[in-house]
Amino acid sequence: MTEKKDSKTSKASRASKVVEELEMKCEEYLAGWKRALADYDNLKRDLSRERDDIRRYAMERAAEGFLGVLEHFDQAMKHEPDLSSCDKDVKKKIFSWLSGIIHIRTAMVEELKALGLESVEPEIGSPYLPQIQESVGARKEEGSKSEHILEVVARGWKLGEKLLRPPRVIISE
Amino acid sequence: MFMPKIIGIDLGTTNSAVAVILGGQPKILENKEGHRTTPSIVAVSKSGERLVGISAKRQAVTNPKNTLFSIKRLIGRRFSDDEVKRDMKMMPYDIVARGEGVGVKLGNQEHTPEEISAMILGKLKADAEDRLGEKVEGAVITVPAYFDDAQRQATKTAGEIAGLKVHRIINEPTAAALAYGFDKKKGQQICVYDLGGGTFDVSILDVAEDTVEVKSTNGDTHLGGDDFDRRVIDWIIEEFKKEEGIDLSKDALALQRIKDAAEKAKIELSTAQESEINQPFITSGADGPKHLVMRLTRAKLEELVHDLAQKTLEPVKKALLDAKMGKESVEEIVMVGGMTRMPLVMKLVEDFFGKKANVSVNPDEVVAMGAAVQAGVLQGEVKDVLLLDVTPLSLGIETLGGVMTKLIERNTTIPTSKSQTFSTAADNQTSVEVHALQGEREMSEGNKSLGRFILSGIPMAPRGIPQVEVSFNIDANGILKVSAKDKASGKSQEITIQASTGLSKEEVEKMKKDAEVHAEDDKKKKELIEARNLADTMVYTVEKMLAEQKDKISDDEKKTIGEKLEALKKVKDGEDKEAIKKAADELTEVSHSVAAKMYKEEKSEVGSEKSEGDKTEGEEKVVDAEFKEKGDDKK
Repeated sequence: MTEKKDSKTSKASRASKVVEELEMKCEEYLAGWKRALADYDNLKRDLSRERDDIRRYAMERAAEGFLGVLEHFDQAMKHEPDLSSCDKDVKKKIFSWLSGIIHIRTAMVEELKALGLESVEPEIGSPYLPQIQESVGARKEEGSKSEHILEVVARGWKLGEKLLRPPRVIISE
Repeated sequence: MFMPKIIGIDLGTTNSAVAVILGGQPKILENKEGHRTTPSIVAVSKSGERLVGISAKRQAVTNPKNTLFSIKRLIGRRFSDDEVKRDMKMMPYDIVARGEGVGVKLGNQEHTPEEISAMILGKLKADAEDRLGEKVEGAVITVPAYFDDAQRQATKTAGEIAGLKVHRIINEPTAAALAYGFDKKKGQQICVYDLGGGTFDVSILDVAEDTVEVKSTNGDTHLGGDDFDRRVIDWIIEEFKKEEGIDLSKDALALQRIKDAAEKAKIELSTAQESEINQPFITSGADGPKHLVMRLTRAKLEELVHDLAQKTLEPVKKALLDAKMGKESVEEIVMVGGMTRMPLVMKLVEDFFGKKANVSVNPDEVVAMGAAVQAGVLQGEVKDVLLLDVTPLSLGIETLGGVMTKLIERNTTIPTSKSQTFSTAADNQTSVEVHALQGEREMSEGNKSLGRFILSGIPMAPRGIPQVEVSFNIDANGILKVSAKDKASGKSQEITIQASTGLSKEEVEKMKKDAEVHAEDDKKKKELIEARNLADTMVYTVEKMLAEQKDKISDDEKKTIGEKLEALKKVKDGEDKEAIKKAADELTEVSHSVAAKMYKEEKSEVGSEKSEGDKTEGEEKVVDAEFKEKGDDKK
């Protein structure tokens, strides 16, 4: 009688052990399955983020090239020649030709703006902020506070929130 | 259980990078400014604000005394070290003695190099947390293989000051090898060639059971990309001086533009043979504005920097000597650092070793990626990734002419399933044989037969009309089920193949090799079969057209088509692919011109005889034909 009972008990305990094991396996597999689904979901999100990154990167690369060209235009404008000794007619012709060139520059700026680029030009006399501006030189100037912008050598550009090119400035010592 | 992420940090002399394991793979984390690397620079502005990274770099020109860079050169050093003495002469900031150690001045305060490195690590940590959206508490930090205990301990201290638990300090070359997964191949000798912005390191690694041992290391602590840039800048200045008589090195703004242009040209010349340096209005002379416009060829660039690149080979030889091994024993070469992208550098290294270098992982990021791999192992993430199997060989069925049509390409992760619809090859065919194959050969006879079955009971129909969907389904254990179902009758049949991935490694390799060896022959054979199949279809279609439209085709046309048809029939079962193609093209041409004429005639008939009563049959045919034609056009 006791023996029978014992064997029943051991059978029951074996069964419950098997059930326990199976339950554990079930849990493990469910966790694995959920993880696989989550991984897939994350992968989809990652891929879409990566796609956006690639698009943004391609845009940045393209913009960088154009911004360099634009900087040259700005540089050119700073070298306006002295035409005082020129004949009136010649002067007129040069100005008319030059204004055409300036229009080309404007058209280029407009195109870049349409792509989402925004120019950044800090105010003269405002404090210098290294987080968003690059100092390329410093000089003493009477009446100006230390580390304030004296001159903007090249304007900056940003695409969305990202600063592609910080404005380059000369600051007071 | 939640466990904070462990990040991998490449704390570089010039730039630093952070990576983390995401979804089982190492990924670089961009910093707050959206860049993948962060300058290892710390500064304090005149207003007392501390700046780290790109913002510190942006003010370096106007605040050199309080801008600390290359701090890695000083970490863990004694003030009496030669290296420190050398740096004292070169650095614009103040280096002072602090007991036996070193201190640097930043603003009004004195700091240890550990504290400065901690500021860099602090920013890296904060930006990583920002990206991940969760707290980061631990890190694996890399150091050069030649770092001694004091330098390693100081780096660890820096991490701890930054609030990071430093789980491990690992060697940079080891990290690079980890990023390539070379730690899994035991008994390998690896050379890691690291040409960074300011330093050059070479290490010989020995990968053994569970360990990566640095057998030797060598390098030049003052040779890097900056020296290469300097050569280009000097050349530009010199050339301009020769041409215009103006020295641009004194003009800070012009110099900045030249630096940018030199770097751009150097990068361009990694892929192009020639680059234009174009900086108009660079300065002004007595006779008006001056433009800097010149061409730099790759050959010229290589001439300018050849000795610098050549100089790196000496430490490589020394490292090999120290490791007591010949260059032939090096099995893998890993390139690290942006400068290794230069074709000249790559060529010198590859020529020296006589083998290809590994460049598939971005050389600026490979060390951080490897640190992240190590972090992943420590965190259990890398080990924990469920190992998924892949099908070692492609799986498919035999189609018309003995061609193997692949349904599942090799290296597809399993479990997976794929279906494709096939049709009959002959009129009134009521059964199809599905022959499942495995292998890479184009023709079924060269591949392994897995099994075959017949699907019968397909309703009688002209060839190409029945739709039989064949599905391959492999479960996670590699058991393949192939089924076929006739869409019209719903009849289906399937077989289960137990050992679809049960091939030994040798068998798989042999089959892959066979496919490579026979690739050209197989391709030719497949093209011949395809040409024959196409010819077969052409013959069938044209004969059908001749029978159905016999009243509308003139005798002359019938004769021409008949001749071309016979010509194609004669060659179609032969071995000459070109002859079959030529005959098929000729038949297509004549049959198309006849068909076009027929449509034209039909159209004018329909237009002029619209009111006639007895045209139902003809009109139906026209509508039917036009519909087909339009459908074809759309394709």
